[in-house]
Amino acid sequence: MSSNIKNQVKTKLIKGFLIWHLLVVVLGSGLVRISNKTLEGVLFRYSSWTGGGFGYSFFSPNVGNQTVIKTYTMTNGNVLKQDAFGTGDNLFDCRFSAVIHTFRNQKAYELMSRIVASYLFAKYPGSGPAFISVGEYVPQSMAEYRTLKKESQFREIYNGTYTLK
Amino acid sequence: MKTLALNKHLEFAILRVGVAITILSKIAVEFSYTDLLYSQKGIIQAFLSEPLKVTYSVSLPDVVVFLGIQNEHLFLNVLYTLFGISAVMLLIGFKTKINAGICLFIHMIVFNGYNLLTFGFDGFLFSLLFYTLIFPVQKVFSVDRYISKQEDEEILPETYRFYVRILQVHLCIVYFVAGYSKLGGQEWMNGTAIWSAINQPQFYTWFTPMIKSVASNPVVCAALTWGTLFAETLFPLLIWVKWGKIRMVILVGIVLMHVFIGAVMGLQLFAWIMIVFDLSAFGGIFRKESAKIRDRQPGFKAFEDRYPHQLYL
Repeated sequence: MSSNIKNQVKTKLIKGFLIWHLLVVVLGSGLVRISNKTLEGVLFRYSSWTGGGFGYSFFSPNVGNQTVIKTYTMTNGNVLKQDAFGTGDNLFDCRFSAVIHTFRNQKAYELMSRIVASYLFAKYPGSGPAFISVGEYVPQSMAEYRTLKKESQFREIYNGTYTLK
Repeated sequence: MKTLALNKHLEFAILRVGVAITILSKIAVEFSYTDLLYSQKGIIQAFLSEPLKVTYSVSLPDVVVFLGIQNEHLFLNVLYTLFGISAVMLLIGFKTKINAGICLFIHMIVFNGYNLLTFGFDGFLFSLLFYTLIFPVQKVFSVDRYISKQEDEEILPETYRFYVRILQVHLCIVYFVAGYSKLGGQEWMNGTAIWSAINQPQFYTWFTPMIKSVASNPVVCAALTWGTLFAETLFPLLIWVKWGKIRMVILVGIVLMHVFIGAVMGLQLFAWIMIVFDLSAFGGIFRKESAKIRDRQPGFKAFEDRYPHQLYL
């Protein structure tokens, strides 16, 4: 086979593959509802190797309220330390915020609190109990902001006190 | 003597260089948190990540177990250093395919291993790294092109158009899905979505108080909200309309939307990767518009004849 024909075949194969890739991008984007488990499995597998086929529905259908975790820890020097998670201070917090937003049920909040507690006990060695409060941050309305009537609210949805044993 | 045309196949150069800069920025802001984020004793421990683990692809925890790594801290530092070196090589276009492959592999194993910690930016970097590996980006503005001994190193015009079209269609799917999925949302329909977004604690930046004071006006907020909805939903249509300056206006509009997201909401990495995606897919529109201006101005033509857009290497 001459190199010219080889190149033509190669180009056609790449083109065919890229058209298939775009098809997966459409199917995985969430635009089409897929109920077939086999097809879904194929798409997941393909996406995990190529990055094609993720959902693109950001901030939808609504932006919603953000979940934030507030913590209060008494260190071994009897100093009260206050921390917050999900406030996007740095990339670690941004990524952890993604985890917090993934689950929205009581069991998950308890699990998240345990994770945060273990992080705090590692951060403040020898510390006492950690009080953890999970809540939604509810912004004031535009009118409330303009008239300074009401601040944004932290609405608690779960709390717990954790001790290192 | 080789020539390096400064306005030829610019989209591929934007793709390769943009992706490389994105990786370097990601490493710069993430390097000190790798243990916390991506080690088996990090914030996401096995009992949480195991049920959600991607079993049908390679993931970072699998690699750690397979290689019998004892010192995860050292391993992650070495891995991220390799990631950085490969990104620099990708930036200058040296051994481009190998380095794109290394970058894609490292990003992929981290992504698949800790998908709970990922957000939109990681998905787009994954997609664009894949295109960087597949497309002949090494043939544009690269060391590879300079040192290559092959004479037929030019990309065929129809092949180039096809690759760029793939990027364009992918980007149109992204914007259409992003816009369409918002259409049923109450906040998007009543024009308050931008107010909700800028009030989220994780998006608080230096600009937030100023933007809040402006966007607290319902008319401004509705204009920003519906403007976003309009730009995202209609981008896939308007970007193809070759009438007047519609294409240019919608492209500039969408890039400005990402600048707003980066500056006001603090999502700089996401904003950057989207601008790279926009310009590597549709950056040619600027070239065509500037060519039209050149054609109308005889002075430009004379200048270009004297100083062609080429570097002689």
